[in-house]
Parts: sequence; C-alpha cells; structure tokens
Amino acid sequence: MDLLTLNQVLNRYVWGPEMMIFFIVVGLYLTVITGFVQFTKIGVILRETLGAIRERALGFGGEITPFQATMVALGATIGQGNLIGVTAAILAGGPGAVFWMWVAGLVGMATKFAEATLAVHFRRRFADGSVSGGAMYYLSRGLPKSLAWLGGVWAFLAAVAAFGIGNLTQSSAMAESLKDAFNVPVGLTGLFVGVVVALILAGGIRRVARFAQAVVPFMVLVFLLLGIAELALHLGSLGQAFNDIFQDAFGLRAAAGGVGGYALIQALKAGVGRGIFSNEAGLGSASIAHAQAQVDHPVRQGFWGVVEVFLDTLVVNTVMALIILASGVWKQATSPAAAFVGAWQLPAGPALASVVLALFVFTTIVSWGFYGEEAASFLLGDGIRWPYRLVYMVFAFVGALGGFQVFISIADTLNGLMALPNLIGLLILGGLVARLVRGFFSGEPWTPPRS
Amino acid sequence: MLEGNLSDLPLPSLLQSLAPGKGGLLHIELPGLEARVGLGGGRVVYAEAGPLKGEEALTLLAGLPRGRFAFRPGEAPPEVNVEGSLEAVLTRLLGVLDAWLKLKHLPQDWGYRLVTGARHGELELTLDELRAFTEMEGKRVVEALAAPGVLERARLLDRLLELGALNAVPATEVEPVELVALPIYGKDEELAYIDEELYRLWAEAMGGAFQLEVTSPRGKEASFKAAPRREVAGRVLVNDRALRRLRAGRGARLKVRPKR
Repeated sequence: MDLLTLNQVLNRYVWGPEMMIFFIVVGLYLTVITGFVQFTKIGVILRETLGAIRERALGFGGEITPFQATMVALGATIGQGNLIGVTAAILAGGPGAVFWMWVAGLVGMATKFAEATLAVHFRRRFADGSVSGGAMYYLSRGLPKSLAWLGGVWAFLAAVAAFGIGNLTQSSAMAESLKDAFNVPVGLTGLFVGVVVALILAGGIRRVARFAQAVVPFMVLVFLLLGIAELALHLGSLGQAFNDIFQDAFGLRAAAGGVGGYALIQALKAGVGRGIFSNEAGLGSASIAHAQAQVDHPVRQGFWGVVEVFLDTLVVNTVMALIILASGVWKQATSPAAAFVGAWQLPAGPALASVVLALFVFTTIVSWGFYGEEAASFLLGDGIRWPYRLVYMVFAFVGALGGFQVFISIADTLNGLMALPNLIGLLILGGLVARLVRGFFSGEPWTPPRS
Repeated sequence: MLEGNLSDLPLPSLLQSLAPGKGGLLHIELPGLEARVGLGGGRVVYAEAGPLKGEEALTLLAGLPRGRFAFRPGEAPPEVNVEGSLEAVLTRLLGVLDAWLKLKHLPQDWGYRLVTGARHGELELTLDELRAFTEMEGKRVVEALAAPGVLERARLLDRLLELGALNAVPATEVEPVELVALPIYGKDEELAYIDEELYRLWAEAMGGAFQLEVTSPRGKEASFKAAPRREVAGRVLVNDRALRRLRAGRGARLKVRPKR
C-alpha cells in the first residue's frame, strides 16, 4: 500500500462514521459527567460570557481577555465549512441534516467546554508572564505518564495540519472566491494574505487577539445582517424550511416513499458530521486559544467554549442552512459551491457573500497560524516560532495559486487524526473536569496543578 | 518657639526646663486629643486635656508616651486651675508617672483604636471591667482615658488589654477602593474575597480579621466577611446571589472598604 492509498484509507476513517460515533460518545460522556453543564447552567454561562463582553480583564494569569481568546478560537472555527460545508451537508443529507447538526452541536458544547477548561487548568506560565497551553499540554501533563506522549503526537499533528486545513485550503478558497466575485488575480490575493498574516503573527498572541477581536465580531455581524436580509426575501418559505428540517430529520417524508431508513442515515451522517467538524469541538485546536485567557478559574473559560460552539453551529450554520433551504436551491443544485452562490438573491448578494467568505477564511488562516506555531514550539522550543511563521507565510501565498492536492489531502487526514489523542484524553480527564465544575460552583478557589 | 515630641522629652522634664523661663502655653496634640499646659511665674498654673482640667489633665498628660508639643511664650493661660509650687507639681507628676509605668499593656501610641479582641472562649469580667469595655470599645486609647478618674480607667483598660477583651490597633482611616465585581458560586453568601495583597494590607490596618463594606453603583450596601484569594487584584469576588441583591452583576464597580 503506497502513501496515498494509506492516506485515503485513514482519511475515510478519521472523517467517517466510526469517528463521528467516538465524538458523540465523548461529548455525551462529558455532558453527563459535568451535570449537563451546557443546559443546566445556561443562565450563568450567558451572564459570564456575553454579559461580560465589555468588561476588561484585571489581574489573573494569561495574556488576553477571555473574549479575545474566544474570538481567536471562533476565527479558526468559522470558515468555509460554515458556508460551503453546511450547503454540502444539506445537499448530501437533505434538510434533516440541519436538525442533527444542532443535536451534534449541543453535544459538542460539552466537549469544547472541557477542552477550554482543561486548557486553562494545565497551561504553563513562564517567567516573562506569557502563557502557553492547549491540548498538547493537558494531554502531556494531565494523562498518566504512560500516555503523556499523546501530547507530543497531538502537537505534531496540529503543527503539520495547520498548513493544510488552516492555510492552503483556506488561502485557495479565498483566492477563488475573490477571483470569481471581483476578478482579483489569485497571485495578488496570495501576496496580500501571506504578508498580512506574517505581520499579524509577528506580534504574537496579543496582536492575533487584537486582530480577532476586531475582525471576527465584524464578519459575523456582516454575515448575520446579510443573512437576515436574504431570509427576509424568503420570509414566506421559512415555515416550510423548518417543517422540512423536522420532517426529514427522522426520515418521515422518505418513509412515505419507502426509503425512510436510508434517508435518516444520510441526514444523520451529513448533519452530525457538520455539527461536529464545523466547530472543531473534539479536535482540541481551540484549546490553544482558550489557554491564553486571563481568568481566575478554568471553568469560567469553559463557559466561553460553550458560547463558541453556540455561535458557530447554532447561529452561523443555522442562518446559512435556512438561506439554502428557504431559497430552494438545494433541490436542483449540482454542487455545494453552485448552491452557495445561487442561494444569494439579494442585489450584490453573491459578491457580498464572497467578501464574507474571504473574511471567514482569512481569520481561519491567522488563528491556525497561531495554533501551529504554539504546537511547533511545544515540540521544538521557542526558536521555531520565526521559521514556522515564515514557512506559514510562504504557504499562504502559494496556497492561493492552487494545486498541492496531495499535501492538502495528507494534512486533512492529520487534522482528523488530531481528534484521536484528544478524545482519548478527554475521556480520561473527564473526571477532573467534573471536579473543577463542582469546585467552581461551590465557590472554591482554583489550584493549578504543580509543574 | 520650642517644638518636639513627648517621646523624646517626657512632660515632667519638659515642665522642669520651661517653667523657670518666660510664661506661655504648652500645646500638646495627638489624634483624638488637644491639650494645653499654662506656665507663669515660674510654676505650672493651668492644664487642660480634652474634657479634663487641672490635676486630672496633668495626670493624663504625664502618662502620654508620645504626642507633638509646641511651647508658645507669651500666650496667657485662660485661668488658674493648678495649685502649688513647681517642685510640688513635679513631685506629684513623678508619682503619677510611676503609676503609669506599672501599666504594661497600654500601647505606646495612644492614637490607636480599641477594638474587640480576637480572643476565643469565655471571658470573665467584673462589673467595672464590663462597663469599661462597653464604654471604651471603638474609641481611641486617649479618648477612652480622657475622663474623670484617669488612672482608674487606665488600670481597667490595661486589664482588658491583658485579658485580650480589647485590642489596640492602628486607627488608620481606610479610604474605600473601587473593585470590579466577579461572581462566585456556592452556598456561602456571607463571604467575599479580595486579592491576598490587599487583604494583608487591610488586615494590618484593622489589626486582624475584618469585614468588607460593599456599596454598589446603585447605592445598595452589604457587609461580607473578608477572605484572601490569589491573583484577583482589582477584583472583589462576591457570591452571585448576594451580588444580585446588591443590584449589581459581573463587572460592576463596587466601592469596598474594610471595617471591624
């Protein structure tokens, strides 16, 4: 078996139904063991996160505010998967996929909550006041010694996958989108992306955070305004769209035609897949951003993990899904890209959607650049940061020019593989997360683990 | 004009050196007390210390371990309320000084405030001690002593301090500070946390454990038992339910001051 065949086999597994089941099982386990935190503490979560956006962090360890950390994480998770990916899920699984996407998102909230909580709990603080954390730290510091090597494996996967999922794929999508909408030469897009990304990453997490804090809320807001305007055009079809979602979710309509079971499985696969992979809950990537937050207790940052999934999957994905369903393009579209472009019927809608897509993928490139850099420095020390940034910049440039399909395919597999050590770690560390939650809601102070 | 501190030059020595010269008024000041001693004709003719006059005032001033003084020659005493020659007055003062020196538990700074002691367990007090305790608690030492029967009051206070019924603590007036509210959760709604460094400073000023008096931006007030917590500089951690009773939430700027 050659490398490419091996990659294809692995890729099918890491993004396939077996892995989805693993994601869901871990998410459900974390939901139960934390006392259904994403549901029972929803009031506290909202007050502690969205209710405290304007508050400036004071004291505590960490480098950036909890809000900034979440914007960095959202910058990475909100990408073309939220637009083209959601469209593809509906084309593959029908409207019912949206329901299962919601369900998977709700379960994923507990997973992301655990990741963000553990990221802060196991982060390292250095003499210069900087901090570093993420899945590689909670795996290497939190797991039994015999499994601590999983932290190194995860860091390797993240450092390499960043060039694919976070860089080449995104840069290429941005260049294509701007070329189609405004005829911008792909080389020019690549040059812009490469230089600007390098400038942002050069400023370390503080500059990445300032960038994300300004751009991510803006792009989400623009998308939501655009989406609401588009939905206003199809106001009469919205009721039917929701009806389709719930009818198809359980294969009821298909059952009448005799293919209910098959339709249900398709909806489940497509919806759960989108609900899991769109928000990256389970991959462990966002934990790198959450680890940087200035918080007095890890659980407080865990709340932001819940909000991150909520905004990604239940808000952005839902708006996109409703646009696709209410516009009716999903019934006759031949490809996700065609359906995505065809769904926008506002004047200048497709052009504006292209700008939004460009923003979505650009923030993904920046955030993943930081993730990859952190993962690489975990393995090779701080000296790797600048070489990593420069190589990342070059990849961002050449990614816009297209090609590199083999590398992108391997990086995609490595990206999926990140979930394996992370989910194993979350299963083992679930008890600790539960203890941290109980301690937090008993008013106990947080005691960081000893180095 | 001669100026100094009684800690460097005790009152009997000061009067001995000043009386033979030109007459005038000796002004003595410390937080909680203003006193004047009049000199004229080579002897002490007048004494006033807070509400005390004459011999009682001199008795109090003789025991004063420290306090700023300034002698203003030429200022006339308002009246004559001390009788006897300079030698007689000094002899009486030296006798009083001996009595003061026997009181080992009085603090060196009579500007200190008297607060309930942190002593645990039961305490047996005589009726006089109990009365003195009730009367003196919360006052500065000098205010507690500046009443008729100075030495007897001083003995009672010395005993209360010895028993630990009262504590003399620096009477620092702590200005309220603005701290940002951070909700905590759990059953204990009477406990609030501040940064351990601020806690240490306030505990020193308060002479031990203290309460936090919290005022919300809407003017609602509440008191909490104070406790220290690491790395929460600029914050006050208050139970979520208590915070809501203050009509405040996370991020609210609360005025916080320590109190006994």
